[in-house]
Amino acid sequence: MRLKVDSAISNEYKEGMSIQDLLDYKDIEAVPWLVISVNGIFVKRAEFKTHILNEGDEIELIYIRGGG
Amino acid sequence: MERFSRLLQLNNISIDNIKLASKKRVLIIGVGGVGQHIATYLVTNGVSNLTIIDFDKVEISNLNRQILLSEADIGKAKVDVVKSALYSKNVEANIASINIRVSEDNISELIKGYDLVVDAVDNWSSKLVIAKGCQKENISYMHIGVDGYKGQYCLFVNHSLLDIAKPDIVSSPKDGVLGPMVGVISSLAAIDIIHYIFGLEVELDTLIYYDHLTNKLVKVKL
Repeated sequence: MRLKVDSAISNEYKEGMSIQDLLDYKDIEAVPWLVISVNGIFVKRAEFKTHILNEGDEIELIYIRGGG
Repeated sequence: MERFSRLLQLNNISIDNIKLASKKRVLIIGVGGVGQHIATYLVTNGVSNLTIIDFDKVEISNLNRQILLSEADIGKAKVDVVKSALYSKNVEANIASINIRVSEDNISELIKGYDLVVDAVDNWSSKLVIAKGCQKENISYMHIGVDGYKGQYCLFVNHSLLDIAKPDIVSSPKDGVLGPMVGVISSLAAIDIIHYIFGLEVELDTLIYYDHLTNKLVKVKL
């Protein structure tokens, strides 16, 4: 399955992956300040395991920061 | 109105917007790099009723991004220096300053009565205090954060930072930051703040994220 994750497009992903599967596959820890969007829409943390990704989805991983 | 003549040349801004803004009050918590940029653009663009809060003293490491400070200010209370610098930009502004650290004990009293709170602090514990306080008092607030070559902001009206992230107070990474990135993100955020206070259209409850190294701007609707 083809996904765009943080601007990188790849066909390496398995059909039926959830967001949590994607995080596990890429060895990304779902730290409490990580925000994930799929196609520009925020996904609640409670839905990481149930939100199934589809061909062509664009996923953004944003780490909330303070400071400046 | 000579002061705002260039502003009033814009098609979407009129004297009515500035009159509306004159009745609004904005509170900026944290006047480091982000807070100084935003405060400067607000008081010089018609958002003149401003209160600033900070408890820091000026340090030399502030100077790469905190545009209102100079070396002669090192050791002084930041709110005093910033307030004086803001008045030098607009003597007609109405600026109050409070030298205090926000806490769960004082946040409600500090934010009551404001039309918008700007969260420009650099630590998670204060960000949590502000988020909880604004949620409790039902006050809109702008979250802003910058690190490295990345930055983000969100004008929360019906949502809160607490809805999208659960910051861990123990982990409060203070990463490096390139001074101009603070200006870039703060300027973008300042546009939305001015629009909001002017009663103009603005994207609410939308996290806006910019990564300069990949030239990527992302909008996440909450």
